[in-house]
Formats: sequence, structure tokens, C-alpha cells
Amino acid sequence: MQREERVMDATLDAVLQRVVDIKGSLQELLVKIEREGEQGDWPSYLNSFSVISAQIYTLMKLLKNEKTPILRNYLTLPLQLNAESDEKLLVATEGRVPSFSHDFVPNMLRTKPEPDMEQKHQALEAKMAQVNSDTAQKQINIHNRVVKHVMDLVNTAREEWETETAARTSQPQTCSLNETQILVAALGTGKGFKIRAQPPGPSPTIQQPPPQISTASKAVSAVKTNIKAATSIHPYSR
Amino acid sequence: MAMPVNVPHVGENLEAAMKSQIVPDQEFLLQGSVLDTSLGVVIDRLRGLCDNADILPETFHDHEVVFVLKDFSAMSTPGPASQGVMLRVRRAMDYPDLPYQLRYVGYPELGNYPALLRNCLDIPVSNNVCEFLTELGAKLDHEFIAKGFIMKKGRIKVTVFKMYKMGIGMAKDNLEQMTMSHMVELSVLTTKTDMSVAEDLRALADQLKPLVQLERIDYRRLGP
Repeated sequence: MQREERVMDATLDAVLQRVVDIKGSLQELLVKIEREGEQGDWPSYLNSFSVISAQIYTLMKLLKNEKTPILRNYLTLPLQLNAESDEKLLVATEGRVPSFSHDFVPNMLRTKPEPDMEQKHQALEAKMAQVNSDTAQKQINIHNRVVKHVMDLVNTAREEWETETAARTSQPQTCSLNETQILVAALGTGKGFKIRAQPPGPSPTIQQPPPQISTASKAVSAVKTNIKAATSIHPYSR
Repeated sequence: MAMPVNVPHVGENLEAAMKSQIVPDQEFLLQGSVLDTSLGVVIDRLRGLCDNADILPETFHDHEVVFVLKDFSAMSTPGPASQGVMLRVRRAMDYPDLPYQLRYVGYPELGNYPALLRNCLDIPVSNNVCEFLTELGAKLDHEFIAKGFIMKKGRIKVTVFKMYKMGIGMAKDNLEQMTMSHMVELSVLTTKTDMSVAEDLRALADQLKPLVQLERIDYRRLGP
């Protein structure tokens, strides 16, 4: 019994902490919207959103944890109502609830459905009692079948959608470094644009050599080296 | 003589800029490319990031002719001295009435800048600039067609374009695409002291990741 209480306390503390975190992030976002408005930049808004969604995710994970006791199995009963304002309550709720009075309690600790809901429920109960049990069973079966069919449809749609997104994330190839380099070189030096083909020689210079060499280089490579030698000799002989 | 007749006021502006010693002659540049198949996604993202998201991006269709001015009789030695000066003449094929554009682009500066920094001068000129350059002794080096989109975000110029080789017959419709990609360039004209704008450039580039990898690429280091 004591162990259960301790687990319960720990869980409530953890849940409270998460909720406080979420509240903090929401307040930050509100302040940001108020201060920056439309001038704020998108990436920072998106950051805030992703922080909040991550916090909500951790809260949900905590609630679904196996060690967490199922909270809906616990009842909270108002034992005493008090119209006097309560300092401690004011602090605990950050100034939102001044007293544990008849105004607040019905909303905060409701254990009974709203009156018109209750009426509808009773009308349905009465209708159920009138129907023959065989017909009821038949209707239930038909209903189950229809629901199952709809479930199947939704599931196939989801599978399709998931494979589609997976396919989209698995092909991130939107640019090619190689093509970037080709384009930059073409823009910078005109490589690839020149009307005469670049001679496939060993010349490391990007610059197009003078025309007489380029025409000669279309011949056999042996001839090209000869001409190269000739051009390099030429200035000295002058 | 080089001063264009049809746009004298630009020359005056230039003179005033020279006098006050504030010439936006430095260009920060980031380059990347995107495969043609993903072009639509990049354009959509850029429209969202840039100014005037409500209207379609402006298109351009330019013809660029690059001249080289150097001592052609000198021996061809490796190094920047022998490569001469490249002068780029651009004309808008879709707006034949606009003045031609003469552009000088310097070599990328060495140093640890957030983007590629280079000297850059643009001036509108009359349509006989090609003859003028030839008379000066410049030789036609190569030419190409660039077709694409232009957008801006504040001072940043964003261009996405495809380059085409000119066909052998020089016919305007005989185009051969350079690669299967569009070039993406972010650039901004500034003075050398203004570094903050280069950071803006980087921020915009980061928002385009991983669709496009925009980097400072020095074409001289790409190998022959």
C-alpha cells in the first residue's frame, strides 16, 4: 500500500515537472509573438514549435510508461468547499484560483456528466431495453463489420503514405557536387564553352593556349611535343 | 570614349562614388547547383525566403561573351600574369532595348571570409562594346547563354540559372545544355569593410540546405 503511494507521488511529480516545462515554453512563445509579431523570423518560431512538440511527446511517453499507474483509475473527491480565499491555493495555481469554492469545483473536479448529456444517455438506455436481443446482436455485427472495413481502408492509406514519405527521405539527392564544380569552372574560366575543344595535353594551365598550338594538337601527340619544343626554343633564338 | 551615350547618369554616379571613396566594388559570393529535377522545390523555397513572395520570380535570358585582354605575343607561361584580364559582356536577349553590361570580375581574395570575396565592377555600355573591345586588342574567349530566375532578399541577389553552350553555327536556337543542373548563386555588392552582410548571405545559404549546398568555391582550385 505504501509502495503504491510512493510510486503515485513520484509519477505525479514527474508529470507536474513536464507540464511546467511545457507551460514555460508556451509562455516563451507567447512573449515572442507579442514582442516580435510579424517581424520575427520563421526559423526561430519553428524552433519553438519543435521544442513544444518534443516536450508534449515526452509527457505522453511518460503517461504511457508501464511503470506509471493508470491515473484514470484514481478518483478525486471534493471533501470540503470553502468560499474563503486560500493563500496557498492562490500560490499553487499562480494566481488563477483564489478559493476552492462552488464556482470552480464543478468545472475542475467533475464526476458526473452534464445534465443534457445525462438525459441523452438515459434515452439511449431506454431505447436499448426495448430492442429485441437478436436484432441487437445482428446490428452490432453489421456495425463491427463496417468499422473493420473502414479501419482496413485507413490502414492501407497510412501504409501507402508512410512508404511514400520513406521513399522521399531516402532520396535526398537534389544537388551534385561534381556538377557544381563543372558549372563554377565554366563560369569562371569558360571551361567547356570554348568553341575549340580543349587539347587533351598535359598543359596544366586553364587558359586556352594560342590558336596555332591548339590546331596542331589535333594531330598526333608526337607532333604536338615537337611544336611545343619549337615554340619554347623560338624566343631564345631571336 | 568608353562612356556609354545612352546612360550618362550612371557614369556620373560612378564618378561621385570614386570621389567619396565609397565604391561598392567588392562582391561576396556563394555558389552551388541544383539538379533540374529539384528545381521547382528550390524555387518554391526561395520564393518563401526572398522579398516579394507574392509575385512570380523574374526571369532572365542573357547572352554572355567573354573577351580576354592580354599580351598575346608573350610566351604562354603558367600563372595569373599570362591569363590576362577577362571582360564579360552581357546582353539581355529577352529585352533587346536594355543596354549591354560590361563586367570585370577579379580573382577571389585569399583569407578567411564567410563567403567568396572578389573585386567586381559592372557598367552599362552601348551595343558596340564588342567592336570597341576588339579594337583595344581583346580577343573573344568564349560565349554562353544563361537562362533562369532572379530574386532578391534585401541587398542579396539570388540567381538560379542554367547555362547553355552555343552551337557550332552560333544559331540562337541551337543550344546545348552544359549539365543537368541549374547554377544557384547568392551575391551581394559591398565594400570590403562591411562583413555583416556576408553573414546574412551565409544565413540564407543555411536555410537552403540540404537542397542546395552553397559554398565558397575557388574555381582555380578545381584543377585543370
